[in-house]
Amino acid sequence: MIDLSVDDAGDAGTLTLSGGITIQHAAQLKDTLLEGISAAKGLVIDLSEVDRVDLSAIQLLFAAHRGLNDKGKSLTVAGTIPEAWHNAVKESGYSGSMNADDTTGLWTGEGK
Amino acid sequence: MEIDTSAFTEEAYELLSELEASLLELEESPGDQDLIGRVFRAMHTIKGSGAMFGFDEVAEFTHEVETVFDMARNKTILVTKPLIDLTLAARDQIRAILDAAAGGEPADKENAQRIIQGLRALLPGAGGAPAAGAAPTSKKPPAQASEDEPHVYRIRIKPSPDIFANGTNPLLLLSELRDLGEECQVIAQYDKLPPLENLDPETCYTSWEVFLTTQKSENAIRDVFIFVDDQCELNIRLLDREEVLGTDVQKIGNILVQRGDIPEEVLEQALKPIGDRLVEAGAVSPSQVKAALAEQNAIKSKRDKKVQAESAASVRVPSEKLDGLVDLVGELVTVQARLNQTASNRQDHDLQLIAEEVERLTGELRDNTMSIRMLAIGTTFNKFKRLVRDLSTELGKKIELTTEGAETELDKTVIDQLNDPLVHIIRNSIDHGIETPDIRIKNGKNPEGLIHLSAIHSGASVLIRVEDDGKGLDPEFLTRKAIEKGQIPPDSQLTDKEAFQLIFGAGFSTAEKITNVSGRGVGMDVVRKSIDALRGSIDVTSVLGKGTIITLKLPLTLAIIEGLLVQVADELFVLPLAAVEECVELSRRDVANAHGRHVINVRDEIVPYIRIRDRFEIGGTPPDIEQIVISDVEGKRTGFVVDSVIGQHQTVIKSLGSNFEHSEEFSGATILGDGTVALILDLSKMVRYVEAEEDLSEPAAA
Amino acid sequence: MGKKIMTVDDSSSVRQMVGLTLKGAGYDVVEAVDGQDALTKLKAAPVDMVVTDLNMPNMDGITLIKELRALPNFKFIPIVMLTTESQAGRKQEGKSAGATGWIVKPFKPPQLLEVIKKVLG
Repeated sequence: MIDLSVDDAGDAGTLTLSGGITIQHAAQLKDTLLEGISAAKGLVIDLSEVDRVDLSAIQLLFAAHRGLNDKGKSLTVAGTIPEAWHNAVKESGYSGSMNADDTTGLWTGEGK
Repeated sequence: MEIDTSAFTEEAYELLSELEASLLELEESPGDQDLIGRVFRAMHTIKGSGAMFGFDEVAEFTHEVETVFDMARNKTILVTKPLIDLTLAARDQIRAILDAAAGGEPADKENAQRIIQGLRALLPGAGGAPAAGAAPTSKKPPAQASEDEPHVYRIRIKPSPDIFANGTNPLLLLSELRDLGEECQVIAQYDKLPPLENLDPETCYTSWEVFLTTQKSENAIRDVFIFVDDQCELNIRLLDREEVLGTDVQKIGNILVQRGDIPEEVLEQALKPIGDRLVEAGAVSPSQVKAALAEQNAIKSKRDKKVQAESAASVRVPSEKLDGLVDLVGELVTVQARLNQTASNRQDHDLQLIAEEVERLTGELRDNTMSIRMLAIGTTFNKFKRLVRDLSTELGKKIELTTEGAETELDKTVIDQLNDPLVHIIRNSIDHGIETPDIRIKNGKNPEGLIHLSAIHSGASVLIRVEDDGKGLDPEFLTRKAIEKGQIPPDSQLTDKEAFQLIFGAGFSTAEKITNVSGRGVGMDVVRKSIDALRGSIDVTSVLGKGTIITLKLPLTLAIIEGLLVQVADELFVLPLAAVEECVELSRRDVANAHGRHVINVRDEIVPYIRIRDRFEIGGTPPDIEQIVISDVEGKRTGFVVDSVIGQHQTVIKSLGSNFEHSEEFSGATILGDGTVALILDLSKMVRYVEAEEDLSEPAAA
Repeated sequence: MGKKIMTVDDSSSVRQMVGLTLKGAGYDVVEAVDGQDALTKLKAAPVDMVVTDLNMPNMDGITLIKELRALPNFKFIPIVMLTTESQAGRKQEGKSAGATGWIVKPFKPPQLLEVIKKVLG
């Protein structure tokens, strides 16, 4: 499930993802990401209820993250990052793909 | 996962029978595409399910045969006699393999090779070059488990952008690749990934560079991409020895780090032991595992229930269970008879009504139980088609086998025990009965001989008839031969019927030369023993030059006997009704007229008799007028003298315990309604014993 | 939650074989007897993967694959076709129609599971 809420001030949009984020929902995820990025100064992303991640989601979030960085907007993570995400990053070879100063922990491919 | 293979073997045996029948039909009409299709499908199914259920030998062997038949199906090759011969041999081989798997003799692998070579020789262009059909069944080449040092491969993978569109998940390919080796490093190349705004979410922009350390071959790596070989640019390079020489896998990683291709933590991650990685990849807590196990159990029990429901339409039961049921029904019939007797003794009307109801139900229960064990004799008949075909070819004869009454049902036990005697009889017909084509033509007969096999119901018996249009039996020749062998006295005058019975004598063979088909001096005497054991009888009629008819009269079932209950003093006996022809009176005057010989004149025919009272040394005085039960015993009318005939009696046979083992003159016992025991007489054995003891075999022809 | 796989085959023994193998491996299994039956059932309740025979009455496997790929719910799910060696040409036809992979009949349970793992994970 994909759910976006933007606070009234437009400071932060919170994107809550749950279940499987896969190619099936890729188009919807892209639109929501674009919406969140344009509406808010920063994006908060909550992946804690995600249990399936595929390459399409990795590509989208990577592009979103990179886009936010380029625009000087922030990406923060709410809740714990699930193993499913870490595994997908690791398997897809995207581990360490983000700049070394990335602090979100999204791209290390390492869970706790 | 355990899969029950018995379903496969049972199905396979059935398919093999079908296959044989189809092949024999195909031989008659070799152009019949339907039949070719049937043969092919039978092979295909055996191969397919064989492979699925782990019968690799069956699958591999059948594959070879199927390949050849596929060509026949595509009309690349013609259906010829050699093809049918080889396919029949192949069918036998498959059976042998299945039998071996069931704990039988191991199948002859060389025979399998011979069959395969024979089949390949039939293929077009077969001249030593490996035939097209020799391709291995497995889609993968055998894994080359090289003992070498592990190789380091660099694998570049560039999927086509639309790879998601056919359901491919590239991450699974990568993880499969990872599983191939000891060490594996995957580095995504995402420089083609556009900004989010321009990104098509359903397109794959990522490509990879993978470093894999493995002992597997390049083919094994390519196999990972077998489904996407047209959707993936794949570039695999075995890194030069120099690149690896003197270094270990970790060094390769270090080189990459030094080259700035990957950060150090990626390397460390990649170098973690596979066990750790699996634990991480497991991503489950113990409670989740527990839940999953519970779910699996639930699925299993659901599956079992489903399987049960699916097979409910017809039930396969081990025949021992049925035997047990028949035994119990037998007991019930006995108790019911006692109930009837008790009810009528007590003059209790209500009890009699109940007894009658129980009798009706018991009767139905008995009939139903018996009918469960009833099988059509058709399958047995079908086996003989093959026998006739093979033997006649071997002997250079042309014989057609026709059958009739294949749907006739009789007890499974009887059918099982009937096979061997019928084989002997048919062999004899083929070997000694039917003449070679040239002799047949000379005698004005159709060069093709005929064997007709039929079964019909006749009361509580089944008549099975083997009829041939061969040269027939010569009673004079048989008599002479028996005299030569000292089996009958030199001055014996036998009726034709008696002469024909001579063929059942032990060691009696009329074959002028011994062939490997029959005529080894065993055979027909064994047939008689088997039919005796089935409480059946054999009748032979033959017209010299025209043919022979051998008729087996068999009880429908072995568990119940239609008997004639007779009494001698206080003793009760049961004679099998199937053998009984008539009852006549024996007066003192008749005995006196015979001047001490145990014979009686019945409508101008002299019939020898046996006095049961004397035979079993039963005391007491016989009544003035005794009864002779005239029975047909091996073609001879023989009387059995009793005090009185009580009547017809359907009875459940109890086998006699080991205490009675020596009493071969009884085939069993039965318990009557009042609890008394009546012995069932084995008439053939009685006659033989008496003949042996008294040499009674001098019946004067009328 | 077990993943749900539909097996489509007009041969009940193949369906049973595939079904037992998959259930034994912990998957949920639904069965369909031909392409038409599969399509009807899938529209009512989607699955995670489809294993389909090619030669079937009413609607063959290739048509089924094409029909499924045109539906949003089934655009990306793995579809594996069962082929025989004599149908080598159909492998490509199926691939073009959108099949993810194939299994060559005859196959054994481990081979089936290997392919399922390959395309479904």
